[in-house]
Parts: sequence; structure tokens; C-alpha cells
Amino acid sequence: MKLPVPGTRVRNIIRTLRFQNGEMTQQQLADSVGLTRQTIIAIEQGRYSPSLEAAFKIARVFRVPLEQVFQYEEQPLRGRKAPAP
Amino acid sequence: MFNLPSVLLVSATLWILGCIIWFVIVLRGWFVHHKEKAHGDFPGSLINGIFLLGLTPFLSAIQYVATGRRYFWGGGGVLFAGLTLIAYQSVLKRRKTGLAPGPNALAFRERSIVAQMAAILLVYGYYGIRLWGKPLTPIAATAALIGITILMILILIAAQIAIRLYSRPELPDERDRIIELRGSRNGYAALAAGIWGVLLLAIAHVPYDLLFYAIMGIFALAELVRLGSQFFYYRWVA
Repeated sequence: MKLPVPGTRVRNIIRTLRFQNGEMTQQQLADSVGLTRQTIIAIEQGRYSPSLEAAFKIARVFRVPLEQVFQYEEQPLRGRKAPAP
Repeated sequence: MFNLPSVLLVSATLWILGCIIWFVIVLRGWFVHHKEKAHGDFPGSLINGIFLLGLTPFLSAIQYVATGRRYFWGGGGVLFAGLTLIAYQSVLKRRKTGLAPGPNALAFRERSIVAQMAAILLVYGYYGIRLWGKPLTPIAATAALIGITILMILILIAAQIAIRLYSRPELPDERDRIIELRGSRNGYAALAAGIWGVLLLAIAHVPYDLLFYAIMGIFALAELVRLGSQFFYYRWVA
């Protein structure tokens, strides 16, 4: 059964970064930041937004700034006004 | 000895025979498994597991007849052993082929949730069927509560041991804690709604045993909502 995934507005390039860093596995990344493999999968698929602390840890593993790993999608949700810039 | 009903004698004989066959097959499986390390693929545990699954309804039917259509849990242990062996075979195969569990494979916590839900359905279902329609005395009610608690503990300990053998135990992280909280919130909502229902039943002066069943059912339902929603969040939402 395939259910629609609600998702978050936070996008990331963790998958790309993993492959650029010696084809790091999800388990290796999970172990290095103290999360479970399932959480890494959920973050990569955009189903779960990590806490700020976990996001910093992930960025630090790849030695890149936080905003390079995670981007906030500006497109407003249906029926809501986008916040003022 | 000869005063025993013949069906009981036949059942006991078949039971012992089944156990001996099972023991021999498991021994053979292990023997071939050790040989297989040098020689290639062998589905020993799978064969044993399927054999035990086939034995399950047979044992339950024997017990059902032998106990005068009262009990039928006899196949439960064999069913559990069969499923464990089949799971073991799948782990063995994965190790041999070097396949990592896919993104859709059940994680440690998800398996634990499934085991808890199965235990609740099994134990509460068993007591529900057993007690329903009979006059409920305080002694029977107390015995049911103690029985449910002990059975749940035993089943959950066995399930946790089996899951730990075949899954990598993981410490809870931030997502696990969020999902646990959301599940508890949903379980609480179901429990609160159920309590209101019980209060209405009490106001309507329903019999004591109906109230007992209602409270037991609501508790089981709230637990199922808690665990089911956790499983749902794990798989499809968060």
C-alpha cells in the first residue's frame, strides 16, 4: 500500500553528499551523528525534518555549511500566505 | 492408564511423535547447516520452519478435541518456533548474499511494535473468547487479569529476545521519541473516549461483567491505537 507522504518543506542533498564522501552508507552516517538508519532514510526522503542539533551534526560530518545540506522551500503551502521576507 | 479416553491417548502419542520428528529434523537442519558453511546454500531452517507451521493446526486440533473443546493454544509455541526458524533462514540468506536491509525492511522498533500488537490481539482475544457469555465472578475476573499480565509478559519477553537475535538493537533517537509521544497522545485520546463510554454504561446500570469486558476492551483498543499509530508514523509519515 502506497500512502501519500506529507513531507516537509526542508529539502536536503544528504544522498548526494554521502556518495561524494566515499559512498558513505546510511548506517555509517547514522552512527556518526547518533541517529538511527531509519531516521536518516526519513530525512533523505523529506519525510522528517531533523532538529537543529542533528542538522548541524550532519553538516559537520560532510564538512560543509548547514545551508548547503538543507534548504528551505519557499513555495507557500496551499491556502496560506507566505511569510514576509 | 487405560481409563483415559482413547482420544487423549492417541493425541498424546501423536504429540510425542511430532516432538520427536521435530527434534530430529531440527538436529538434521543444524548438522546440514554446519556442513553448508563449506558447501553452499541450504534452506534447513526454512524446511524446519515450514514443517512446524504445518504441525501447528494439527496440534491445536488435537488439544481442542482432547480437552473437550475447551483449549486450542497448543499450536502456539510450535507456530512461534516455526516463524522464528523461517526468520532465521532469511537472516542467514541475507548475511550470505551480503545484502543490506532495504529502506522498506522493518527496523528494530517497528518489529517490536508489531510483536506488541500481536501479543495484545492474541492474549486479549483469547481471554475475550474464553470469558464471553459466561457468568463472571470476581475470582474469574481476577484470574483473567493475572493471566493476561503474566501471558503478556512472557510473550513480550520471548518476542523481544527473538527480535534482538535478528535485528540490530538501536538506542532511541529524536525521531523515535517524537513518534512515541505522538502515539501516546493518540492512545490517550482513545482511552479518554473509551472512559466516557464506560461512564455512560455505568450510568445506564449495565451488568458488572459487561462493564468488565468494556474496560478490558477499551484498554486493549487504546494500546492498539497507540502502537498502531506509532507504526503508521514510522512507516509512512515521519
